[in-house]
Amino acid sequence: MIRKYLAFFRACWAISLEYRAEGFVWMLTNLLSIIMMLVWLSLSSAGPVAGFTSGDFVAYYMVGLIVRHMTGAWTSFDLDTSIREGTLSPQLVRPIHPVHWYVAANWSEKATRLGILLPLVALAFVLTPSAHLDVTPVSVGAFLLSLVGAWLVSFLSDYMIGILSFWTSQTAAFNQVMWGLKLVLSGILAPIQMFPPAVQVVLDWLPFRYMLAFSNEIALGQTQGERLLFGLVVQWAWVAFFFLLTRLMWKLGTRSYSAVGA
Amino acid sequence: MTSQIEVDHLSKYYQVHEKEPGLMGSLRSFVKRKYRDVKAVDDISFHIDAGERVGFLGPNGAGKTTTLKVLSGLLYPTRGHATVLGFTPQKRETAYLKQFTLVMGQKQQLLWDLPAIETFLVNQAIYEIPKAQFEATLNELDNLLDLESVMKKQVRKLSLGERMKCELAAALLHRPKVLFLDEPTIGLDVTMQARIREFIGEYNRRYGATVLLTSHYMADVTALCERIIVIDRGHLFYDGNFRALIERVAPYKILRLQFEQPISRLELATFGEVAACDGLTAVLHVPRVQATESATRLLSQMKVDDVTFEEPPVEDIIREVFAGRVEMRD
Amino acid sequence: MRYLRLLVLFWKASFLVELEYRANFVVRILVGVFWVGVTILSTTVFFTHTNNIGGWDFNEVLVITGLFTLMGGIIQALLQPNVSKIIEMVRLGTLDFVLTKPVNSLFLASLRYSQPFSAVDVLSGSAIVVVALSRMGYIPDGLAVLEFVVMFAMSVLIVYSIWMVMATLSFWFVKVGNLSELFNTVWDTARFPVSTFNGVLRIVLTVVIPIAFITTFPAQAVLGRMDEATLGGAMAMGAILFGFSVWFWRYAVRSYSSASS
Repeated sequence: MIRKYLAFFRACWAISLEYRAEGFVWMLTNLLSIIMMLVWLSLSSAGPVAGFTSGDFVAYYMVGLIVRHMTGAWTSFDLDTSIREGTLSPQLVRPIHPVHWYVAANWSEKATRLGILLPLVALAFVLTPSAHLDVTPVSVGAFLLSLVGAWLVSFLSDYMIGILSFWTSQTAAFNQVMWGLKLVLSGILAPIQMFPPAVQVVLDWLPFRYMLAFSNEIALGQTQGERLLFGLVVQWAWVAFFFLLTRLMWKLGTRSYSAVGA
Repeated sequence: MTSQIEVDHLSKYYQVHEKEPGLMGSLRSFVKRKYRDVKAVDDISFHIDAGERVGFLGPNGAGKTTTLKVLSGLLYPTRGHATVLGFTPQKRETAYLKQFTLVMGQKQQLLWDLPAIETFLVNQAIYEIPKAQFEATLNELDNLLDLESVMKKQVRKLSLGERMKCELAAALLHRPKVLFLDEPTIGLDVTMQARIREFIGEYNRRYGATVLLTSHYMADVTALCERIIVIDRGHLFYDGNFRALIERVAPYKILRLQFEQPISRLELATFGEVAACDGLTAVLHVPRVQATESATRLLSQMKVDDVTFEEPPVEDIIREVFAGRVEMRD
Repeated sequence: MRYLRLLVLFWKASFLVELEYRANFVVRILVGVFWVGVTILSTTVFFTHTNNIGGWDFNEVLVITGLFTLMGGIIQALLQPNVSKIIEMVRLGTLDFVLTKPVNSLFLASLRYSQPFSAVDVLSGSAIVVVALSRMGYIPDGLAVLEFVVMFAMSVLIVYSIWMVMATLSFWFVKVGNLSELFNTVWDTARFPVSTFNGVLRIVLTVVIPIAFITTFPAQAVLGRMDEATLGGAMAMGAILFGFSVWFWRYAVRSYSSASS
């Protein structure tokens, strides 16, 4: 399996280098986080908003840039295209599950772009002395664990939408709804603490917070102790859920693909 | 001993929705949809032994591709069943996937943006081909297909023919025992078609691989396949030896003659059936068994300027098959 | 006149295509309603912590939100399908079919397709604007309406030009799909009054990527806060961008024809 992944990486890496300019444009799409940061900075210029100082907002959105970068997933798009154009067929007759290719593509693109993103984020922290991170062994460990979890929740939920293309041509619509939900509920638009308490309780149980905000909160030292543990349990429960769901859906999906016509 | 490919009473139906033309038709089908079953493949049976080269003939929509897809495990049969190498294709077991290959002339597996060699390397990993074997196979394929110059160029910059060569190479690196080739020469020029055809024949001889091929081009089939299976609208029309079919449907050869001086129909009638005659030239249908003898007689008895033997056009023969004038099996 | 007839034919054909996918219709409505909810909710989140964004109160921001949704609908219905088609045609080389037709190629390429069901967003966006205005108890006078119509026309022209320039870029960059992604990101700033942003960014959003002209200024017009300078600026901006996009398209077609075989 490792040999297969190495071969996949090699190819995916070469593809992403073919499209360097594209990678650069992709970097710019992180602008949304920066825009939201600027909006909150304009609101917090008079004083802290719900406990967030300007420095907190900078730290939150800068960590968020990295988390969003590391958890970004676009497999549904590729899978939808493959299914519609029939290019999935050649992949299905190969003795390896197509998802491994998508995972390799996902990772290799991230690796290419992380090198550009990290220095920029570091620079932002240097320029904003009031932006603090919680750097303790526990929080760093928890952050990394939550980051892996966040990637899995994002990737698997996106993969799930991709698998839906076996039955429907509405993948784009599902993606839009997913994006809308993520925009508001995962912490892109606003940190979860900006929501009314009742909403926050609900968000504790939904998967969205665990795609982004949860990791941000850990990095800022806002979620600690028991709440941290609780969050990790819920996050990984969602990982398990999506894992099992996508496995089942893939099985049914390829079956129905075979029924309708490949 | 059972056959390598067994297809028994295989049927595959699709549901399609129908629509009347025009705005009203669109609106009507928007509200209420009418569905209809299309029988892509309807109760087809055949067996193929190891090392056979079988041509799948039929017009567009005959069910050729559908059958190949069932055999590759991409489609579930509606009824009946198929086994290949003892496997049930739609279970898609790894052991099975490693032993066959599917090449579709209109779809590609090569990575579009990279040189073909990158796809080869990816496939090496996917099919777990040992390094030594990979290099040996690649070397042989290179000899047969002359890949050296093309496999290092980006696929999107290759010509259609070059791309097909690489596509075949990528599909054969793991030395599959069974080859499903769906229109492998589509869109290629005549020389390249012949090239690909020769290669497939050579691969079959060298590795004893079974080849099941569909093609629009009769030449592909006549050059490659001893056996043909003719299907149309999902039904099997003929399955058997290609030569035998020709001899049965067209038990004659075509003799084209050019004379030094005008000749009449009547004089020619003793040598065979006169298909055309305009004085100086004539076309005769001569029974196969007597062909040589008739020609010799002709040459000795008349002043013949030029004479050629031809096989009846395959297209005509197949048309006969579709018209239902030929028995199903030989 | 001929072009108008063609346009009607194109749109009719697109409508017929859309009818083929009836699930789309239901889905578009649901997604449309969903986004109205998302936009209003997100605006509410900000206003639980403040009483103004960039000097605009809740109802005024709601007007911007409505225009944002409305323009998004126009983009989805008319621009996005053509732009993705252009990109695809350049990639597959089928643009030749467009260039050999006896019709203005930009017209044909940029208005050939549409997704009429996306007009749902145009309706819901307009509804938000109307609700916001009535919550203020404000009825725009004739001048405000006139100014709004002009500003809105300019904003459509500006958006059209930006999208066409992006599509034209695909002549040189094969995978330009991400560019529209980029637009979508910058586009999100149009949810907020341009005065939310300070300093350089505000200038960038006004002059370089003229997002301000798309929602903020038309909103100002309908609220009766338009000044001549902005009005003139919008018309100049519309004319310049449109002119540029036409020139850029012609330039690209010329170099495309001489480059490809």
